[in-house]
Amino acid sequence: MRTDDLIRALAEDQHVGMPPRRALLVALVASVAAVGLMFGATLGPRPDLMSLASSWRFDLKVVYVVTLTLLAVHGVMKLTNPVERTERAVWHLAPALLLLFVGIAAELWLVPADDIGRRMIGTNATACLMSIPAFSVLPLGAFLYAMREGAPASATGAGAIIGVLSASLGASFYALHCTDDSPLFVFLWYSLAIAAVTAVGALLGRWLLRW
Amino acid sequence: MPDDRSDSSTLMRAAIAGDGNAYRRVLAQLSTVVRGAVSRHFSRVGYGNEEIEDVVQETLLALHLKRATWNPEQPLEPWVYAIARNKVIDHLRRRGHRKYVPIDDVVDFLPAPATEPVLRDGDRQVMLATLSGRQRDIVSAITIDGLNAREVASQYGMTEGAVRVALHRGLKTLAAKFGDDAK
Repeated sequence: MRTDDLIRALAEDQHVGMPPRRALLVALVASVAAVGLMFGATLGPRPDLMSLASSWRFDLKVVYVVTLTLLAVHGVMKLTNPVERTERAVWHLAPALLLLFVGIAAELWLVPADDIGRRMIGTNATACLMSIPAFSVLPLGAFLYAMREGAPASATGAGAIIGVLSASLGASFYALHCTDDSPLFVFLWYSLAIAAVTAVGALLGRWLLRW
Repeated sequence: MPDDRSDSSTLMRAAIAGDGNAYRRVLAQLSTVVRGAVSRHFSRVGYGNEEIEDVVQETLLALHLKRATWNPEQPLEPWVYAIARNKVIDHLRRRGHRKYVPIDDVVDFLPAPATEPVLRDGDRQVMLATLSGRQRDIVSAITIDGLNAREVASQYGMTEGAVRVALHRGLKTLAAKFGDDAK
């Protein structure tokens, strides 16, 4: 086939396809709805949720995971375009981590040294490690499917950021249930759960997001 | 309406809005840009014209199927280079050049016209043969016999819309076949 012939065939095909950002937006709305329903039907918010507005630890925990989710959405949207680099999307997550580190510094300042270990280990570690990945499964599938409309420069990298997004979305709901609010707990266990989902996202992305 | 002096970004915007004539022109322009980019990557590994033309076609197919990923507010060419870069890496991986990292400074790629009409009965015919019956008929009627969608429609007693759908699926299948080879 001559290249000119191929060009003629391409010009005859006028189907442009759904813009990948729109596909991701659909996946985001569907994921929030699905995980919200799942969360309501299983764990549900903790009973004292309403009285927690004045607890800075609880607020910081929720703001951290929600910020991470929003920054990851932004990063994933950008990565649909092959001119965007994965490293840049990783750096875009930095403000959320900075917020968490400020919280950790405050916690280390306020809490007596012999109490630090107990707060970091908490009482919900296993539940956290199970629940966040469980709430990430549907978003992970939805975002990977939507990203197949995109053309990420690195399939593995895009899969990894989609993993961060899916896990932080799951964690945003789980955080409303979990009674461990210490930034030290969040740093240790939430990060482990998010890292696991990120690794799965990277592996699946490598396989599913090649184009 | 884009005129003769329109740059590729303007043409591509018109093409995405449905101007088939603009699309043919921008693809013709881009094919020389892509050929320049691909040959410059490959000259360092010593590939010949046929192989280069394969990757040029693969890149054109990818930028066709992925044109919705281009941000129309940005210039077109960096996006084209990014697509070409991805296809070059794919091709090199397939050939076992695992350590090769293509150059990033794409600014000075020189456009290159096709060196000769590339008439190949080998790979690409095999590629077409992997399509299912009707898709293969339609894709080869358009590429090899040079018919347009309307003529193909009347030849096969189909609607023009159905021909375009089959063509789109056929092109997607071809692109996926390239990808499978890369694994």
